[in-house]
Amino acid sequence: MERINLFRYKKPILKVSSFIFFTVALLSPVLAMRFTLEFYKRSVINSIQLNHSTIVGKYRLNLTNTPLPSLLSTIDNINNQLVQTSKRLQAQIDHLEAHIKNYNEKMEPLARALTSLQKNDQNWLVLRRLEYGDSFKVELYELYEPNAFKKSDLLEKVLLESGYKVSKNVIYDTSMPFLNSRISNMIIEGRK
Amino acid sequence: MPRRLAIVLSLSITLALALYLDVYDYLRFSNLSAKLESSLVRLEQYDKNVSEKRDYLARLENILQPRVSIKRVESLVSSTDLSFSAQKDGTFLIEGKCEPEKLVLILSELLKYANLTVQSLYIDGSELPPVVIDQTQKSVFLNVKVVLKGVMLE
Repeated sequence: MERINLFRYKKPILKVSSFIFFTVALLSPVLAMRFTLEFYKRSVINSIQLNHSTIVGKYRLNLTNTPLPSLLSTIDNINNQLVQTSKRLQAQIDHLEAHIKNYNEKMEPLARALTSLQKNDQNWLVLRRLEYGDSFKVELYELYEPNAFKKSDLLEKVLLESGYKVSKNVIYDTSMPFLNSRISNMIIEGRK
Repeated sequence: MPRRLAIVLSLSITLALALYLDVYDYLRFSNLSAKLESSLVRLEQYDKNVSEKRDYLARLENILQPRVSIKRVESLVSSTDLSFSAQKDGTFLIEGKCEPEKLVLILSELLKYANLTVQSLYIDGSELPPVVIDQTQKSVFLNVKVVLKGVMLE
């Protein structure tokens, strides 16, 4: 008996329900992978949150419930604000440091020089001119006892200690016998 | 539906969804999580930097003691005949004629404060030393010009 294939010329088809079933069957590992990926994403986010818990807490960032693009945008905004704050603080620091440097360079020598010119009972001192800026220039009259320490010498010493190169121009220094003293007029100039 | 076409279609749908839901999403997430990590590291660095600068600034501000306000300097100068004015370059100018005692008072007061520096000082004794004749005392005036510069004067 001869075996004859009666479906030889029949076109092979798949029913829609079979097609759907087949497709769903193929998709199941894809969806399973998708769920696994979601768990992986959560664990990665939790790990990041744990590694940076201090900063996340400080800026109240919600890593778990916020979409990553908006989270990144928020963090970038905070970073930009911090950069601006840092620049502003640096400018303030530079300003204060420059002031402190300027104060040490200018105010201390001036205060010491002015203190050295303070009048005491023995000597009589009159300031004719004082110019202070980049240099220090003083013209003064001094009535002093010959054995006493002169204020002008003290000023010269103070300027030398403050790092000035001092030049002294004595216009006159003469004795006043009736007072048992001497009187002098001099210009003291200090340059850095 | 022809079987071959159905199989190809089904495989195509599966492949497309696998590429989108798994591969693309994984790569996108990897990229975003790496960016998140680096952004947080930068945030930590910037935050540390700002905190350190704030601390340092506070220490610098503490060094500058005692401090004087510009109103206090103004009121100090107003007690004399000197004029006080703010300049365009941020400095302050005190100038005019003043008695020596008052000038000594002003200078000794200004030298106390750490937030103020005397940029330049010019004192000119325009008159000769005082002479007392028959109880008549001639007062001496000095020409004064002081340029001040300061910080934290508010």
